[in-house]
Amino acid sequence: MTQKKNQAVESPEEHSCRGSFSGNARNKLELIFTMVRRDISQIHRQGLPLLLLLSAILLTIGISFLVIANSGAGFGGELDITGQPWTVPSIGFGGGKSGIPFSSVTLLQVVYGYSVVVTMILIPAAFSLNYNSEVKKGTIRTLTCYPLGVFEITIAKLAYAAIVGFIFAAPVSMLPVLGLEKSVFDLFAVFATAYAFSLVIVAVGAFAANAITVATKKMYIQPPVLANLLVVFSFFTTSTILNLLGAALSFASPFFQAVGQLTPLSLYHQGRLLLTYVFGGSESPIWLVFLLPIALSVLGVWLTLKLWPDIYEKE
Amino acid sequence: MSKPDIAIEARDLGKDFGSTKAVKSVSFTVNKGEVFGFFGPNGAGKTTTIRLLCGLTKPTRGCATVCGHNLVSDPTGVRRHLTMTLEESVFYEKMNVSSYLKFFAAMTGQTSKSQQLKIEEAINLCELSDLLKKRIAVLSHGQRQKISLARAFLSDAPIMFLDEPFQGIDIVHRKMLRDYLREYVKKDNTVFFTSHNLIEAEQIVDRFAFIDRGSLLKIGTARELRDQYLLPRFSIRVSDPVKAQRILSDGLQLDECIVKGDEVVVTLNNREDVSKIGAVLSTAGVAVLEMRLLGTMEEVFLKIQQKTGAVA
Repeated sequence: MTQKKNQAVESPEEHSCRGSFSGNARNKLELIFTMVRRDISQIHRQGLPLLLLLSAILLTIGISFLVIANSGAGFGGELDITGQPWTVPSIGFGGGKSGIPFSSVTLLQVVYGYSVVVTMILIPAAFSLNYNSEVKKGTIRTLTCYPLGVFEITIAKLAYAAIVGFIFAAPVSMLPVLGLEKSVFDLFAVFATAYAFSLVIVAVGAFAANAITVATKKMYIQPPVLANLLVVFSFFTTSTILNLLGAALSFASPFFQAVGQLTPLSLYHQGRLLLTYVFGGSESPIWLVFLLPIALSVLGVWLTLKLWPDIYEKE
Repeated sequence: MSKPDIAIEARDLGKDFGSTKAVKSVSFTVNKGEVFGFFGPNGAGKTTTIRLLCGLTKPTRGCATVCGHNLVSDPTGVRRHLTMTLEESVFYEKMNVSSYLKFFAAMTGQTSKSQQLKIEEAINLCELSDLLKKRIAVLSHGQRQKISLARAFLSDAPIMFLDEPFQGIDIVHRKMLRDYLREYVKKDNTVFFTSHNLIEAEQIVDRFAFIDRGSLLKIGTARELRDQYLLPRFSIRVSDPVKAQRILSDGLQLDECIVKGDEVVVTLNNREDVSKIGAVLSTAGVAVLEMRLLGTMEEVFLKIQQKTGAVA
C-alpha cells in the first residue's frame, strides 16, 4: 500500500467558506454544473441516436413542408410564402374540391408552429432520456449521497435539457426557414420564444410532478412524464392547432370549439400572440396567463425543497 | 447546541414504512475519533438507521444531529459533513473508472488540487491503477466494491458511513482498508460502520451497537460487552494439558475445562480467578506456553439477543 499523506491544499478560509450560506449556494451551483458537465460529456450514452433521429425527421419535415408551401401544392391559398409579412393571413391549408381553404394562417404561425413542434419534441426528449435513465438505473441515488437535494438534481437535469435541447433544436428550427427572406434576428426571435416556452413548460411539469410527490408521498408521476403531458397539452390547445384539427376533422368540429375554451391557458398560444404583438400585429397576449407558470414554478420549487431523496428509492 | 466531542447524536430516532416500524426509537451518541460499529441480523434496521443519519430519508419520529447539523431541518447540511458507501452501490456502468472518480471528486466540492490528491490517494489505497481505463460494467464484484470505497474516500468529510464495506474485498485489501480507517479516525474523524462479520469488525471497531427488529439492544466496547455477557474463557497451550486440566479443575471454580490437543480450554465462573491461572499452573510445574482470551462478539450478540428476549 502506498498511502500518500493528505496534504493541506485547501486553506482554512476556503474550507470555512464551504460551510457559510454564500459558500453553500456556490457549492451547490458548482455541484449542479458538475452534474451537467458529466451528463453532456456522456451524451452519447443518453439517447444520442434517438435525438439525432428525431432531429433528422423534424428537419426533413420542416424542409419538405416549406418547399411544398412555397410550391403551393396541397394548399388552397397563396403559392409563395417567401417574403410574406409575418402577421398577415396569407396561407390557406387543406383546399377542398371548391378550392376554398379550411383555414388560413400567417407566416408567423407557420414558422412559430414549426419551431414549437421542434422544441416540444427535442427538449422533453433530452430531459426524459437523461432523467429516466438516472432514475431507472438508480444512479440518481448515488448523487443523493452528496449535499444535493431533489431541487438541485431537478435543476441540473433541466439545465442539461436546456443545453442539449438548444444544440439540437436551434439548427433544426432555423435551417429550413432561412430562405424566407426574413432577418436572421427575427427568425431567431421566433425560435427563441418557442424554445423558451417549451423549456418553461418542461420546468413547470417537472416541479409540478415533484409537488404532487410531496402531496401523495410517493412519486406516482415522474417529472419527465408530467413535463411531456404539459407540453403536449399546451401545443394542442393553441388556437391554430384547434382550428386546423376542427377543419380537418369537420365532424368533430364542435368538440374542438369546446376545447378552444382552453386556448388562453396555452403558453404556446400566448407565445405566438406575444410574437404577433412584437412584430406589429393587432393581437396581443393575455399577460395574466404568464403568471400561471410563474405561480406553478414557485409553488413547485417550494414543495420540491421539502422533498427527501428517498423518493428515488425503488420499493 | 452540539457537544464538541460528539459527532453524531440520535434522540428517539425512528422510521416507519407503513405499519412496519423499521427503526423504533433509537438513541445513542457517536464520538469524534472513533469507529462505531452498528450490527444486527438482516432486517434489523441498520441500513435504515444509516439512511436516516445521512439525511436520505425523513425520520418518522425523533431527531439527530450530525456534526451539529439538525437532521430534520438541514439534511443537505448534514450530507456536507459526511461521505458514505451504500450497501447496494449503483454505478455509471459505462463510464471508465478514471472518469468516474474524477466526476465524484468534483462532487465533493474541494479545490481541483485537493481533488487530484484525493483521487491519487484513493487509487493507491484501493489499488485501482490497473483498472483506470476500464469501464465499470466489466469489473468484478470485488473491484466494484473497491471503486465504491474509493468514491467514499475522495471526500474530506469528517464522518464516513460505511454499509458493509468489505463485502467482496480480498484479505490483503481488507487489512489495508482497516489500517486506512484507523488512520482516518486518528485525525478526529468518525467512522460509522456496519457489517455482518463481527469477528472481522472486532479488529477495527471501538464501540459496538447491536440492533435487532428496530430496537437498539446494547452499546459498549468489546471488553465491556464481553465482561457483561460472557464468562471469561481462555485457550491455554501448556506443557502437559491433562495435568493442567486436573490442576485447574481442583484449584479454581470452573464452568468448563476441556483438553483440545496441546491446549486446555477453560471457562471460569469467577472473573477474579483469571489472575490465578498462571500461578496455579506454575506451582504444579506446568509451563504456560500461550494464553488466549476466547469469546467472540458473535457470542456476545447472541447472548444479548437471548437476554433481551429479541429471539422469538
